[in-house]
Amino acid sequence: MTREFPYRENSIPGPKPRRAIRIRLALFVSLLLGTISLFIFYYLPYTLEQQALHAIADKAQSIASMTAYNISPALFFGDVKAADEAFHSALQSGDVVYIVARDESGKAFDAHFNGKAGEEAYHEYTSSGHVSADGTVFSTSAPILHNGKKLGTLILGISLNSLKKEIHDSRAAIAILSLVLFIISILVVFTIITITTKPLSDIVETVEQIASGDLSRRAPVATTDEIGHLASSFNLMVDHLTDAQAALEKANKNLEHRVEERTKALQREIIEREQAEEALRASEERYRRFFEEDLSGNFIATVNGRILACNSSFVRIFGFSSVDAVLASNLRLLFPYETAMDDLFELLRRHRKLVYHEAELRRADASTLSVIENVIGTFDDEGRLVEVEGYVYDNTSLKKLEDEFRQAQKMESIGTLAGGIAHDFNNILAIIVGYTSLLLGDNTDRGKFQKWVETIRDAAERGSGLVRQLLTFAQKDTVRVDRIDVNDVISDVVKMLAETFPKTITFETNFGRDVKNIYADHSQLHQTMLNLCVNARDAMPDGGVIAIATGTMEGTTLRQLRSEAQASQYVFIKVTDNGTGINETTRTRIFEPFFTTKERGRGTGLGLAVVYGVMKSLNGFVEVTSEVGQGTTFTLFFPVSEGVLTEVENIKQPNGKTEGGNETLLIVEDEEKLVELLQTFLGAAGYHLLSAKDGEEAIELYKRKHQNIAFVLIDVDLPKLSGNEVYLKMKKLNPDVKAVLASGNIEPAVLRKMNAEGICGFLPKPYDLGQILRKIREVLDAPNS
Amino acid sequence: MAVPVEVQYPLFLKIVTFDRNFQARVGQEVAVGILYQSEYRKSFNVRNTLIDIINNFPLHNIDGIPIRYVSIDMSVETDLRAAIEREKINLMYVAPLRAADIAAITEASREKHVLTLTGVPDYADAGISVSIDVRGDKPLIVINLPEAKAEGADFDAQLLKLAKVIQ
Repeated sequence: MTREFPYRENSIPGPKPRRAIRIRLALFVSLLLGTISLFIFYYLPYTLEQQALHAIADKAQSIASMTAYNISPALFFGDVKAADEAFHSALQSGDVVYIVARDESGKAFDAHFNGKAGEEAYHEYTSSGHVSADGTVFSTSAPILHNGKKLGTLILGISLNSLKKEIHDSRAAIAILSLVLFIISILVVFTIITITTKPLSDIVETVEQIASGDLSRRAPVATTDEIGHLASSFNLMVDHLTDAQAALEKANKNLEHRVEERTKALQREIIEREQAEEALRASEERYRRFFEEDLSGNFIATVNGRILACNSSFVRIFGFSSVDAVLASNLRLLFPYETAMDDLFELLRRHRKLVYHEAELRRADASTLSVIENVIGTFDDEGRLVEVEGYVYDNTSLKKLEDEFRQAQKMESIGTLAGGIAHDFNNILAIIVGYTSLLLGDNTDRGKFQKWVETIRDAAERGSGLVRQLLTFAQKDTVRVDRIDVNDVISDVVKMLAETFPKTITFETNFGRDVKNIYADHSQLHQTMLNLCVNARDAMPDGGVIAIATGTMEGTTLRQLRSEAQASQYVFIKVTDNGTGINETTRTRIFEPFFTTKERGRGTGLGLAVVYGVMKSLNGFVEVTSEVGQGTTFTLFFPVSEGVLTEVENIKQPNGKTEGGNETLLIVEDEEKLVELLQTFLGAAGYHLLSAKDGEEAIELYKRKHQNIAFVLIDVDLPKLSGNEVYLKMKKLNPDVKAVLASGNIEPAVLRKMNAEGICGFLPKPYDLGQILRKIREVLDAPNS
Repeated sequence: MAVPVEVQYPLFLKIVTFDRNFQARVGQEVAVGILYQSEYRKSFNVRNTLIDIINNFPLHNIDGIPIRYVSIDMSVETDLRAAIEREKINLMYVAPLRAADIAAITEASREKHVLTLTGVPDYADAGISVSIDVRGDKPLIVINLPEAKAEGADFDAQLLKLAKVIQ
């Protein structure tokens, strides 16, 4: 079957070969063999001639040397007969044509010639190795020596005729042999070439036919050698070519079909892409407008504060003139102090994202700006913060409103305080005033002195407790934060209350396992639990059950309830009663200070406010659920290990009777009555008292008498100079000054600072007189006094 | 004598063959005269030793010419020329002699063409043609060439090449 290739010519491309391989090979081999034959014809006889000539030269030289040796004594002794005998021996070799012995003068001593040719050759002789003109005689010479002395020269000629004849004969034989070998070689080579190239010719013929399009042709495989293998391989290749041709035609058809389909698909894709690009442009435009017209100020900045992008709202909120002005500025300048931005970013590194984060920033004109912001960090593969994206909402107006509202609330609270707590204080003061009048009366029953004084003291302590609760609510009380096991605290509270509460009230506890410690002030936590339990008791006038449970909750779970919960874990305390419950209206106000539903005289309205304040100071939360008639549940959530340790002031409780002393004490106190009280009390204990009513007077007095003053009690809130300044000035006058501060309201930070300055102690007002005695002796009796 | 008589004798037999005139000199018989002094013991002993050697030597000819020897006692012989002629002597061996006139002996030998031979090296310079000396541990032939030619000898150059030649 003949198949046409429309894309190929019907013959092998390229010029036709001018000579077949066979002819070229035959010519090459013939040339080679001819060259070899010529080489043999010319070179071999030449070599043989040269070798024979060398042999003859050697032979002639040997004869000459031997004869020269033999003739030496003859020449020395002039013995011609002996010379003849020596010549005779040399002439035994039939090739010698002449032999002559010369003395040193060149005169022939003896000579022998074989015919005229010998004489002519001798006369032609010029030097050793000479060949006669007709090439028939080779002449050589040898010195004749006697006892090492040269007597003369022996010259000898030897015939080359036999050599020439031998060479002639050899050359003829070699010529004939070369010709015969050449002819035989040509015949053999031609035969081999013909046999070898015949299959190749067949293959070439087949290739030409296949090239013309006849793929049905196959090369004959006549041998099993390389050419046979070539033919087989060629046939196999043609088979594959045939298959490939068929497959190619099929693939071409498929390809055309696929190209057509793909073209259509591409057209569809182009249309879709154009539509997508149009949609993207619209989306980008929307996003840009959204970004630009967003109410919040949006920005992107690096961790160094370089602002990379912002919208027009950001420009407006921060009071810049343009976006370019923002980009030329630095984010750090918008924070209220140098490290505020770094603090924010550090917080971001921990939480990766800050949601609804309240902050105070600065506008371009340095005015204060209150914002609520969402800040998202971008981190690299190694977790490093590289970029910050922020959405800032200007909350200044709302914050101002809140402050005003808070101020109004505070004023309302103060009003409530006046209405609520004034009653308690009036009662306390009435008790004190009443009993004091009895003590001062003329008809005083001295037997009742002790009881009346104790009543006055109890009333004063009640007033002191009331003040402490107020301070705790205001978060100005001095606290001692420590690791606390809530289960231990609850156990203590339950144990104490079980004895004091009515017997109709029962406690049920359910402590969770592996509840972790929290950071809190022990007394505050105690007070908190006490307040919750008292409220529960008051909600169950007919008795009931107070159930207290503890446990641990994951931060992620709590965040579903309280989004601001940031800690990873929380410990909770759940206090449940089955009392009257709280209605919705009341529940919205229960944490307000001085708000109470109890009858006047039974509650201060500070209980739950204190609970709220304590939980807030510990970064915790309080949740309340209640149903009227069913009961109420308060749940306290404490962050695990994320509480903040604050300064500690350990106030020792009265402990036994304390001795007085005879040292000189300086009392710095602006309350005259209190000074009189201390003078009376401490004087009775044996001390010598000095007093000053303000700071300047105290310094003057201390300058004059500090050698005699062993102890100084300084009120913090003094006219002219504060108690802290008084202490520092005294310390300059006397670095070893021993002083104790007293105050009813001191900032923890101030107390920390004074402790660091070396103050010997702190007495909270109102103080117990016995407490003062103990403190004085404690300071004076300290090892370094 | 430098060389024993046992060594001298074979050498003399070979030396005389290098004389191209040997055949003409000796004719049909090689007649060797042994010149000695019976009164001189050393000379007499040499004469006796030589005779023993000649008698016991396996070869009794030179180139096929038979050898005959004659003793000539110089102690009693007064006329050497007469003795040579009488005994037809053609070779004469001279033994060690005491107070002998060598010149007179060589004069007679030249006159009668008798080739003189001796084992006493000193006699070569005095005129004896062929003598045997020693060089190292080998015998050395000493030829007084003028005296030899005078006594009618024609020595081959090959012999002369081997010998010490006194010209």
